[in-house]
Amino acid sequence: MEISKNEYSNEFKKAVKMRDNSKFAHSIAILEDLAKTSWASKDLNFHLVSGGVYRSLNDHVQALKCFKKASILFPESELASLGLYLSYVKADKSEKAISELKRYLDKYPAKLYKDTLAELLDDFNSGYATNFKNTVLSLAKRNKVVL
Amino acid sequence: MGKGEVKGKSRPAKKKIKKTFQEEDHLEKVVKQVVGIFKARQKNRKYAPKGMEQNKIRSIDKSEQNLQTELNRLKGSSRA
Repeated sequence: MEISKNEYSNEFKKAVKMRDNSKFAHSIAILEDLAKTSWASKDLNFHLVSGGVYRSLNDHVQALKCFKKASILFPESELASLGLYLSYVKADKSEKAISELKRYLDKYPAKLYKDTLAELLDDFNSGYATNFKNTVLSLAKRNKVVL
Repeated sequence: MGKGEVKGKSRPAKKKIKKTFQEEDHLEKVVKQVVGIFKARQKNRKYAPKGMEQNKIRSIDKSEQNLQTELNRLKGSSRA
């Protein structure tokens, strides 16, 4: 299915409006149609919004796929990386989550990730996430995150 | 024995007693603190995660909130 840039843009806006009105099933139906177009694959917001709507529908497997695609296509997007990190945590894949966090923070400074690092430091104090202590401590230090 | 000599002897004794009481008070406080720390550690140990749980990431509330807020801000396509 190929549509014009304008048609794509309008349909996407419609899907976002549905999302804003909590009509997630309708929103995802439009987004799934748009996914077949070439415009969607080049659009960071498309992958992010799709991931968000799948999350709202509690479909964390599909959400993970969307955030993963966004992170591969746009490695500089902190939002995509954070979405992927949280999807991995939800899927009980803590090691992969930390790998994604490290991948991003090794190249870019933390903005949204500052709170995530603080949460991880808090986890250590309660005896959780102990495997990743050294990695996270060095990332926290580099990004001036203290508990 | 003159009056002044008696006073001279009794003064250090009173000071010593006072000092001993202060030391006891201090020791009592220290013991209470140590017992408090010990109990807190025992409690932490009791509720600490065990085995595989230790490797899990638990706190994500603020991260989730940040993600949701930022995603909700996206209103249009970024490239089209």
